[in-house]
Amino acid sequence: MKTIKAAFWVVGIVLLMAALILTAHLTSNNLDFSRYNTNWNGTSQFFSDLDRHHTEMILDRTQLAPYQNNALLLIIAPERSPTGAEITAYQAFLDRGNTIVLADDFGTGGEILRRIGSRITILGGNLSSIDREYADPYTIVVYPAGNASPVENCGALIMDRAAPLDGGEPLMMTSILSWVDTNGDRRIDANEEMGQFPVISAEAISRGRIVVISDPSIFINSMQDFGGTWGNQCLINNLVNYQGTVLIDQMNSRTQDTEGMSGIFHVIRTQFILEVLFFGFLVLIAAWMWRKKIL
Amino acid sequence: MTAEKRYIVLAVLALAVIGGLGFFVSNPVLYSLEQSVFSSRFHDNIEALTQQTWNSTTDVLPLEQDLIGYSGPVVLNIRIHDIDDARRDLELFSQSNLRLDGLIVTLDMNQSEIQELSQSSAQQRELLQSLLNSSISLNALQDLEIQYRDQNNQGGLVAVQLQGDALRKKIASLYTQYQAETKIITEISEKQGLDVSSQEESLKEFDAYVKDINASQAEPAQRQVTVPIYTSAQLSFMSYPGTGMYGDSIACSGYFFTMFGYLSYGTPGEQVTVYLDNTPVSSVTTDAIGSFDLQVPIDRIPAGTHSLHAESGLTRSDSRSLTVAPVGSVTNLTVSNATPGGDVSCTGSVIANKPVSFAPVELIWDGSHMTGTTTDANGGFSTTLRLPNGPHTVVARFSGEGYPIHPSESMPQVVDVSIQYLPILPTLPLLLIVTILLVAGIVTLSAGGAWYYLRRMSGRRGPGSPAAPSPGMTEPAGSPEAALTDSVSFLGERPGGPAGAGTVPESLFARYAHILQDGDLSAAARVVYLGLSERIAQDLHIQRHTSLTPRELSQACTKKPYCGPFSSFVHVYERVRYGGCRSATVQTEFEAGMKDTATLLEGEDH
Repeated sequence: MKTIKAAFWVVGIVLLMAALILTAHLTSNNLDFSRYNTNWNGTSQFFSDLDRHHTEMILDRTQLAPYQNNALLLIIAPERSPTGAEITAYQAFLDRGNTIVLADDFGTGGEILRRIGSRITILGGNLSSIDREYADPYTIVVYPAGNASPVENCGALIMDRAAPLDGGEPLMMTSILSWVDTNGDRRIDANEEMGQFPVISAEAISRGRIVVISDPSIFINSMQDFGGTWGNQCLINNLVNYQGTVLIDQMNSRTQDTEGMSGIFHVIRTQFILEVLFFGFLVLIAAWMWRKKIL
Repeated sequence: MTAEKRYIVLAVLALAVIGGLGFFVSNPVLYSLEQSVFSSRFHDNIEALTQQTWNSTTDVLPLEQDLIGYSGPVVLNIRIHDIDDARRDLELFSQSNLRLDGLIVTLDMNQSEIQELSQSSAQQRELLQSLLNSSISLNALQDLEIQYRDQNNQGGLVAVQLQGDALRKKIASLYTQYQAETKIITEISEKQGLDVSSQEESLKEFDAYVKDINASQAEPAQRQVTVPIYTSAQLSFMSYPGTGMYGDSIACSGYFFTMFGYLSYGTPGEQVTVYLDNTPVSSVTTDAIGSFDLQVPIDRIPAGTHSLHAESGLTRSDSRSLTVAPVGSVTNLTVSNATPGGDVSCTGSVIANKPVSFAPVELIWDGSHMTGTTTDANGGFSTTLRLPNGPHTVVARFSGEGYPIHPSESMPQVVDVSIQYLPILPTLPLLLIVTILLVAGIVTLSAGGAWYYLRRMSGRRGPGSPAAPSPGMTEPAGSPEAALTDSVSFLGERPGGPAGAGTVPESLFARYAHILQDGDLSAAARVVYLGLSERIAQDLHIQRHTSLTPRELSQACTKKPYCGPFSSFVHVYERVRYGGCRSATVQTEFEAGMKDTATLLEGEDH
């Protein structure tokens, strides 16, 4: 009987571990930039490191209205065309003297810039360089071209599939031995010219300022652990420790994406009533199992 | 809840979890390799990429700057006739070009502007090499022209002047090509922020040089001499320098042309062969304006004065003399210690003003035995001599025969050879004998091990094949087995008891009854089983019977009269021990089986 009891406990522990893994599995996803994605391409680490007292998630454009002069709105990887009301809200935000930092390469960032009246444009193509940290020409090293916020004192950065920018005041640029890989073959071809390309540019609009980072991948989990070798962490720190309130756009950003069970869990977590009901249900199941001596 | 129901609930839960995970088998989010490398149009997983150890811009740009900086000094040296410095700079230019090419391959940049710059630089280097050769020929022609003028050799003067014209045209053509390559290099370099002053300087110097040579041609009107009219093909030929040593190269150039009236026409695409003392040494094809140039290395050419000339078909040039000066040489030899077999490794080299490559070397030992070998491309040689017992003197000798090199001989090297033999095997060296002994030892050890293993295995008896005792085999009194039998007497005291023990062992039944008094039927049954099994194992000659289960032991005792009762006993025993049955009926049944088995076992003993 002792053997049977031991087997029972072993099976129970295995089942518990399996349930934990399943839960972790179901609450995560593999969507690019998703804050609920704990894998390399998610932004869970960036979001978990945010200072809750200093940061606010912007779920609706009306939340932007109170901020005057000193707030920073971070738009990471926008995925849809912004509505007219959102554009108006962004413009008003700038008019009040605030700063927008737009991090995008292949999304709808270019449209946002155009519609709010910026002269900065995000060009197409993957920036490649022989200045690279890894054996992949898309993982480029970029160098400071200015010392203004948010790249002050950061030194060189690593970027992962950045796009070239045009217009504005360049703050970070590639080395001269860089090119735009127009055909995606990851090598330089005869029709691809080498040159220096801006990857972070800034521009004053109305009373505000807009900063464009042409690679939102600097926020993903795998780009958070460079230590002191590269200035990526410095740039992130400069953004999240901005002197004013840091607002993170969750209206139009891939960081809010969820899917499948992850979406359901996300709804349960964010809706208080649902959360209470769910945990109450779990307690009932546990009580039933206890009574039936399953546990 | 009964155990069965619990198992069912657990099984259902396990299946639910497995089923839940099963939905994601084709696309697991956790713990999959694909997760680390799956493609995304937004980024690559740097954790799955290999890190690089170099910083590319700091590698490439200095190398490019270095490369584009050589052309200026080369052209300047050519213009001021500093041939040696120009050659040295061209060699450095070439090495720099190779380094950049290597980096281009490493970086997979073979379609980039860097590659374009490297190609143009290589082209520029070849043009400068041609310019250098042409410049040397032009200088030699000027010397020859003075010589012919002094000799009043009108035919030679015409040939020299025509060849000079051809060379000037060639240099002008080189300049045009050089301008094009320099333009490409300058554009790329400026784009990359490199300093292009050396390129601009080289272009200015080249232009000045072209003007210089054209001005010198236009100078003396009195050079116009009576021009004989040829209608057949002519071949002019120049060689420079007129003297050389082993390892030097002689630059040969010429002009293949045909005259019609006062006009000469260079003949392109003609095969021209250069002869040294009427032996062909090299061939080349004339270029677009009919000129040619090539290098003749001084290799295996005896010292002294030789004749060089060129031929193309039936057309033969004038001969030029080449004086090859002899040089001294040094032969080195190193001899290793002799092996037990008498082998001695000899290595060395032959060096003149340069390493003497592919030359014969003689290895002479004890002054009377000789072995030949040959140097490699770097002048080194290596060979093995097998020497008999005793001290020997070895020298290496380079005879220099056929070379413009004086003979040389190495310092004598003494080596003591002591071949080791065993007295009983005088013809076999020690190493071979040791090898034989080693192999024999391994074989003996293997055979011994196999014999021991087989012997050991033959003593074993499997549970299903109990070995019958061999006829006549008895167990002597007082033997360990007999003593064991005594110690497991289970029905009562055996007559005679264990010698010297002084005590009577407790009977199996008595021990059973004693333990049963404590109410532990299971433990009591265990004691009985152990006693019976030990006795049966002894009867069946089974070693390590404790490794057998009761059921295996009962299956091993077939053909024995006690086997049936013992099987029944085992059945009840398992119910008591493992089934948890403790009822009086079972106890009675157990005791009956125990007694039956014990009785029949006693009968076996008697």
